[in-house]
Amino acid sequence: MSTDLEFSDEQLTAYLDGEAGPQEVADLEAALEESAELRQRLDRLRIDEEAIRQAGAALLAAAPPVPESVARSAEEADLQPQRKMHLPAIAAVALICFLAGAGITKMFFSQPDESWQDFAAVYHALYVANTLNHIDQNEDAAKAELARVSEAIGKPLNLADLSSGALDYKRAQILGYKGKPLLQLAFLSKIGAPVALCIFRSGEGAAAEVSAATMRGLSSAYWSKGGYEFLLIGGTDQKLITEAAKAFARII
Amino acid sequence: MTRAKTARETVSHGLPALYPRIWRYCLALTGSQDRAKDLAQTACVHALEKAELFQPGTHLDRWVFRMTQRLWLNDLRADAVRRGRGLLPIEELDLPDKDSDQQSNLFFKQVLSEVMRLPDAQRITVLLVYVEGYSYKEAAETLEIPIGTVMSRLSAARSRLAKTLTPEERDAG
Repeated sequence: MSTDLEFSDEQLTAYLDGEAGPQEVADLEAALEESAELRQRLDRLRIDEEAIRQAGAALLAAAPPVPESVARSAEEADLQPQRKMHLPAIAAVALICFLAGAGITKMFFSQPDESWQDFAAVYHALYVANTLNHIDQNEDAAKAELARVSEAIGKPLNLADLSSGALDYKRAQILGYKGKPLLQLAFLSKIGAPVALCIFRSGEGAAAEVSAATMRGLSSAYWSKGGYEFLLIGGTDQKLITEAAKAFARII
Repeated sequence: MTRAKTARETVSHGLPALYPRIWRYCLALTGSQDRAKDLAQTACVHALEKAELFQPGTHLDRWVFRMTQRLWLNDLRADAVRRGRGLLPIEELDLPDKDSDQQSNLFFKQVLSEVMRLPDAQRITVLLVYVEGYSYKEAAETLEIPIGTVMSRLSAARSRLAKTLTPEERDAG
């Protein structure tokens, strides 16, 4: 039927979107009456626009907070109308944005701002395979180190629990956040991606299931249990991280 | 009040409210959460810097979107791709569920993930027309492309989405 070919997919799309002119609508509707094939072509272009609109609206609620620099500039516009941004100012704004950025990913997970996880993620983002590659502790040394660090947060940790699974245990360190100890257990994945299990004693009783997020471009998983919070972070294999996190959540 | 001053104030005052939409636009533009975050911030800094060029009385959102797209296409995309930062699947987005039940959240995530899987050019056009509610003409002006290109992108996007995202699916799901 020649009628079908008179209308392109673009025209059918414009019709569905209410963007076709009155003459075009009249022609098309007449042709649709005639041709089942054209009706079929039109049906194959039908989508749930309302669902897309609503999903897009829901997305807004997941948006990160307005960067401080942007919020501040609105306030300052009244005070310093002639202000012009110079390069150092732009650099400062960019730095603030960068720092504020650390707080953004976890917004998707409704965690409070400025958390220890952000700092741990920023720190871990500097790790490369060679940070850990050379470490080859014997069992006794590894156990002694683990005993020392686990004492710092009052949570016993077994070497055997850390050595199983897809991650190769390397070392443990005590870091600090707001004056409280933060444990960092470092691993290498099978493909050599540095991964860290960070443990922080929050003292809060609420338990949270393992939830995945990307922080500073790294895959991560967060959970909490028995007054401790955990963050497993590293590499870009989210599946690996989530599964390893679930395994750790069971045994630690 | 001078025009430049009005322009500066309009931009400075308008950006905070516009920010979530800028971020959403960046998400569609870059296809990744961490790139969207970076781009949204860069775009705001840029918009503040260029605020005097804004024409008061015109649409701030379109002005910022146009600027953001230029930034992305001209300066940042190649670099972001070269650095090869991992794409964060949209499934990882946790939509706050204050306004909707869990089931519709799941459905929205599914919808978003289908949209995010579209090729870049289709994705951003779908966002402007079906989410932002722009007309073809407005979308064309914002993306600086001919209207015909808007139409062909939307029709290609519709063909792809129709396979997974038919109106009936919602009732069934």
